[in-house]
Amino acid sequence: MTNVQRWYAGFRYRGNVKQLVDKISEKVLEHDLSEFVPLVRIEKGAKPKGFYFFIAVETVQPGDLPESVQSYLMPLPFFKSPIKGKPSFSYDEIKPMVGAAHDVHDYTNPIPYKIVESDRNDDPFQIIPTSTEQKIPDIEAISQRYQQLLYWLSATGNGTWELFKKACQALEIETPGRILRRLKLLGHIESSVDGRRWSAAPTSLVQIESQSETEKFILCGQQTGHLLSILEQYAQVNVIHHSRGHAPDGLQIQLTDSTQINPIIEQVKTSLGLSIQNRGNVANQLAEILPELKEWTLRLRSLPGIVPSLYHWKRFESDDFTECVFSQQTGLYQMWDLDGGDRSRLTLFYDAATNSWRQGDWYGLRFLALQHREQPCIARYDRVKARLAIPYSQRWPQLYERALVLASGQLPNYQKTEQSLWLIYENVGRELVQQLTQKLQVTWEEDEVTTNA
Amino acid sequence: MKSGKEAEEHLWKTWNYWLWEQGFQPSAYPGRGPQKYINYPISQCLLRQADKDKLQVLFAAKQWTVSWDAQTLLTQIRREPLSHHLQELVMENKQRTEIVAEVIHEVYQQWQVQGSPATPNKVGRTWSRNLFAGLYRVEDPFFGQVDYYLYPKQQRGRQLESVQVEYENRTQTLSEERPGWYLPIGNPLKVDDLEQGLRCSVVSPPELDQLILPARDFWLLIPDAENPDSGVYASWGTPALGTAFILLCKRELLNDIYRLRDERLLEWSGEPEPIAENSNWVELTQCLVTSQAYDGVFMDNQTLKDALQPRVRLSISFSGGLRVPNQRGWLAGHCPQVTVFGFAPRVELEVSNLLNEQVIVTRSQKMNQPLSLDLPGTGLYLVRATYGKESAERLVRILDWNSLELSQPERREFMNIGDKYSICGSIILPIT
Repeated sequence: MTNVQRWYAGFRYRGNVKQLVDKISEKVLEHDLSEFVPLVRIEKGAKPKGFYFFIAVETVQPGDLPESVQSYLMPLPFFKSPIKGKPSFSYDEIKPMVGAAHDVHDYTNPIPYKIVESDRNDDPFQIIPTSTEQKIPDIEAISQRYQQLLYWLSATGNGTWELFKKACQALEIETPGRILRRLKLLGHIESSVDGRRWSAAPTSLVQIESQSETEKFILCGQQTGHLLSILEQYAQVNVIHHSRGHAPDGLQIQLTDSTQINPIIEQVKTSLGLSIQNRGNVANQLAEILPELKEWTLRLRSLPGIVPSLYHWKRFESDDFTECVFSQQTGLYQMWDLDGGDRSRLTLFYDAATNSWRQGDWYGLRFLALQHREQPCIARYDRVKARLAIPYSQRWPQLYERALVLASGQLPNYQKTEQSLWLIYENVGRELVQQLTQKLQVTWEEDEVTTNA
Repeated sequence: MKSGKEAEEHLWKTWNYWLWEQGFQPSAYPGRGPQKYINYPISQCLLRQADKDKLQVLFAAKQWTVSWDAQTLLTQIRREPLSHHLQELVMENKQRTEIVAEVIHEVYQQWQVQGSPATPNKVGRTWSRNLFAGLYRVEDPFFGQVDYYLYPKQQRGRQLESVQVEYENRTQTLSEERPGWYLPIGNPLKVDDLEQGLRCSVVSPPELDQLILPARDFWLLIPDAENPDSGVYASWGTPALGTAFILLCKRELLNDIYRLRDERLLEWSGEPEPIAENSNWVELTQCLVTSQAYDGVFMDNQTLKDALQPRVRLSISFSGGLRVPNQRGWLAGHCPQVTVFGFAPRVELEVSNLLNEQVIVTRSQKMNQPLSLDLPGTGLYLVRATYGKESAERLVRILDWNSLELSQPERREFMNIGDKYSICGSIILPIT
């Protein structure tokens, strides 16, 4: 095997730099010389009154110019003044002569190099509250994209936060952090404690309270269009659009008798090989087992090893984050890199009692901060319509809100009053309200009667 | 049975098609002229017995009794005078370099198991008594903490039940992560482990002795081809053209590496980062081989040069769109972009429907520039890029939304609710 070496031939030239580069490039390309002359280096700051330039040459013997280079390149006027007494240079030799940095013209058609910016400050728990009064041009079209996202998640099974974001991007769905939360509320998906991974939830039927003679179930977890068409063959399936279309449609199965559910599950198993789980009234089950707020706080993921002096901090005050010097006060904080950046690295709750930093869903941490400030947290319950209203500014932690959403299979509607914006949850039983408000230390009013939880 | 085009050729094409569908490289190629049909069966055999004998003679002559991994061995072999066929195999078999390295490594390990005989031993296939491991790199997405794990590799072509190794003072059972690899094991590796390598005893089966992490000067870590957004990098192979990778190496190699950058052959982002305080090992991230003109550049570490130097001139890459990893395709209406990476200004690009062989796109495309594929519907499409005598091919499958199938997650996420229960979606389960 012959050993080709890269070496440099040096020249001095007086004249136009650009013209030199253009002409050499033209000849190299015209005669396909890049195999022998991969690049040309021009002295940095070269001036027309005289400068050095070097052509890289690849041959077995340094100093030997290939025939084609002799024939096509050397006749050019730029090569009239070779550096005397030194037919070949190594790269290390020319570096001090021309300085470390100089212009390089590469003839090998290199692959362009692009740096991909790291998205390290992308916190999947970060949700920035936005205006809730956007006009939605076409709810069905938007809703279809969310439906497609759910089908894709069901077919993919599990993945990373990055993958989830890419799928949202492909489907032109903005704010992936919000859609992740909505899908969790609807029982379609679960994410890891650190938010780095997600997995689709198993397919299940969840029973909800029915105001009529019929039995109602909602479909949660993995699903496809094929599953829907099979269900439609055996039961009445009501498709429920969410008020703003920003979630997959809800599928509500209506039966005259709850004994009909098992034959349907069997039919799906026969047709698709899919075992749907009948999970009963999950909203009530969840409300039963959810811990008190204090215990929930202690079970949030603790992030050890944070050195506060390495970051800038902003603290949640009234309804916004303001710059602060961290003084070990309990509260909700945004962690910013010292060199700034356009968004915070993390949003964390600092618990002075345990000297720990807690990570969790954004609304949950904000709820903690409100409770810590002893701000009264309230709710209103309409017993006749079985609707619960919670101020948007006091949205509950995700797991507690999930119990409310699974009571109907519907995300909350937004209701604006003169004073504030409310989230309205449908089909919420009184007992469910009692349990959840008591655990979250929320004061609630039922019709005109005030009850202290 | 008839021979030639009428009979056997379509069988070879069907075989290639099946390989494509399974996500493998096609392996059957015709020869030239009168060798056309003879070459199809020959192409299925990478190493002939004569090649194996020659390799064993070489190993014996050089007394290569150390436990090199496949890539290091290939570098050593490339430096030696070889027969024409072997030379072609190790230097020019561009699409199959890694598999060639694996097969040669098998011969090497068999030779060692047989006691490193001076003359070729023609007894039947004997399996190596060792498993090799690579590196599996994970990075905390918020704080940037990087950890490396021991990543055991399966023996090629051998099904082993219940492999257990003694590692970190306890017996660990190896479970399959993906074809060819076991799940990473143990705690994050220490710098000493990289520096000196590791050898762990295999508890079972008795046919194996050790799990070896070779002591190397560098590691090339590439993103997961099946899930490039996972953030995980591992020693799955050499990077394809245009694929950014991580170079983990000893500081001693930095002179060579800076030389490659000076000569416009390699680029990376930022400064080399030590993987631990005062560590002799550094990481270079977002590395990209930008040129193929490595031949003339002298480097002290020949193995590194060999690993980085591109063996192909063209490579097809798909990006974007909405991919369904479990069904090896993209969803209709969300086709990927195709980028042909290579070292020429332009490339001839052809896209055809594989089933009816109808050509859909034929154009001259600028190299290294993504092109949106606007495919007319669901089906299998062949993307072929050609420049001069070089060509590259890749298959892309477009799926209908109605063909989506539910996939059992490899891992279900559960959120604990107190001590006793956890939840996944609407499924509440007691914690066991």
